[in-house]
Amino acid sequence: MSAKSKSFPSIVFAVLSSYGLAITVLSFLLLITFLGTLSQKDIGLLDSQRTYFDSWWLIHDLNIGGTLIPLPLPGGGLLMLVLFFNMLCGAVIRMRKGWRTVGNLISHLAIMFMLAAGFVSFLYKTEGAMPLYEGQSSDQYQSYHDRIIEIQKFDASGKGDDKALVIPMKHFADLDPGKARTFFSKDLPFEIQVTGYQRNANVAQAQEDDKTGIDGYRVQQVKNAKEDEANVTAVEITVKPKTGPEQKAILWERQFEPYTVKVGDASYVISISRMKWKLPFAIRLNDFVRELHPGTMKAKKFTSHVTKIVDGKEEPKVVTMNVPVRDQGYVVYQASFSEGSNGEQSVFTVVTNPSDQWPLWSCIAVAVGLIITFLQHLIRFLSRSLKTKAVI
Amino acid sequence: MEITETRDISTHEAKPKLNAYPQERFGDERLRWETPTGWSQAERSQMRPVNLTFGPNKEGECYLAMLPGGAGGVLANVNRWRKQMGQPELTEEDLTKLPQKALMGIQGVYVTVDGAYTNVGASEAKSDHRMLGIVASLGEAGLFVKMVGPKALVEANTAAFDQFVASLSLRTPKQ
Repeated sequence: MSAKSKSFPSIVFAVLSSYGLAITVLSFLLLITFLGTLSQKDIGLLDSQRTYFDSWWLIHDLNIGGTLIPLPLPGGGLLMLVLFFNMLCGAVIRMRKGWRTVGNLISHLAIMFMLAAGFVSFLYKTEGAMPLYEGQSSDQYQSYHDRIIEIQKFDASGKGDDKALVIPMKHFADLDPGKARTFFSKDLPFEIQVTGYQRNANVAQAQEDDKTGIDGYRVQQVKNAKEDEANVTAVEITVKPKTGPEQKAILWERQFEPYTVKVGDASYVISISRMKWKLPFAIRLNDFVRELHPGTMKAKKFTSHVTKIVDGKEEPKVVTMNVPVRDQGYVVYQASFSEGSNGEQSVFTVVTNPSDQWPLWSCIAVAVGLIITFLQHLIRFLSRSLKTKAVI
Repeated sequence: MEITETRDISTHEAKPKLNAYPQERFGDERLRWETPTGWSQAERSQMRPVNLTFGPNKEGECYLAMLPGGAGGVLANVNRWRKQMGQPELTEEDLTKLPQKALMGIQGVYVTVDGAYTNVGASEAKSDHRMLGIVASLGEAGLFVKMVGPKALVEANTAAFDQFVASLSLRTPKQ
């Protein structure tokens, strides 16, 4: 068949299933892995991951002799998507099926499964910290990076609702000073206008003649920290009730107490904080043990003796480095510790990820596929050698 | 934009304080105090976490300072203040005779000095001034409250000084 007679879908399929595309994609993946790893030094882990690996495309500033040249590159998300379809078309659909190719097929399907695991993890994984003092219990963990504005209602007796309204960060992180967005809910007797987002900020007392001050305070922009966990976010809000005057407030991640809006007998507290997720069980820290390398302050081992509490039923557990507690799809790891005014605090990392074990299964399947392929080659080689000897 | 997302509130979560004052919300140095009526807040600094002024032209000042090293101890600080007012130094024995006042729960030496006041970095002394202050030590650290201004103005604001000192406290953040 001549090239001219090929239909458009068949041309697309030919490109998608080509070795050339596979080599191009893998080369770009190698390049962005290299550049993304180097960029961590300048922009930190989170921004590097978002810029180079969670993106469709990116502009990398190539430094040549002190001159920055903007270099457009495909992002990790796009490359992995193309790689997935390249393997689907080239190594699954186009490949001849039979016993001789079964190992290859298994290995390629397993790599596709690993890429799918990455996609599921990107969409559904939550990860956060649960710091606990000895004797303290908690059944929630808070995000390392995702900030939220939340509003919780309290009645006249001071009893709070068991759910809070949440404005996720993606809806206000673009609101630089000068930009504003108004949020509403059928459960709120007012609207909230958000503006002046600062990823890292300090709140200082305003001079008395400072007209930009709110309640005697003002937001000071601070240079972003390389590690996002160290950033302290702030926004300015204007509460617009259906009747009555508007109220302005500063929300700051490090504030001691939330801002309160009173409407009738009800109070609404508004704060900015890290996203918190509730666990289906509680963890109580009974004892934290820190072992150091002799003569140093370098940690050798952290161990937390905890009690897992599910519906009032208590179960003792030990969480230590590389030995997490798993339950109902949640994994509780020993992460670190800190020392504060209230004593030692054990810090756990809690992760839930539907594709948690998929990379392991994928690696096993890749290994099985490769072993089958190698054994087939070995058997064919040995049988050819035996035939040759028999002929001689 | 409509708010559509919610999150479950944990029973282990600390209940927030409703109707908190701005100072309670942003007390980044964990300090709480009440600014006396008629006084004003001036720009704070690391050396002066509470910095207030008073008087018709803000000629009186009152601030709290906390120094981790203590700045040489109680006697050295009292004598430094006396020198600023053009007064001779006291001895250890004189120090024991000075009255005491509580500053954030710690007993400190209460100092009253009249004289010509020379501020840090100033070349000329201001006559007929009064300085009130409390010097307290907390371990290695020193806690100081100092009020200075024209004598008549300081006399008129002595009750406000006492009220300010009594309102000072340290708060513990919620976990």
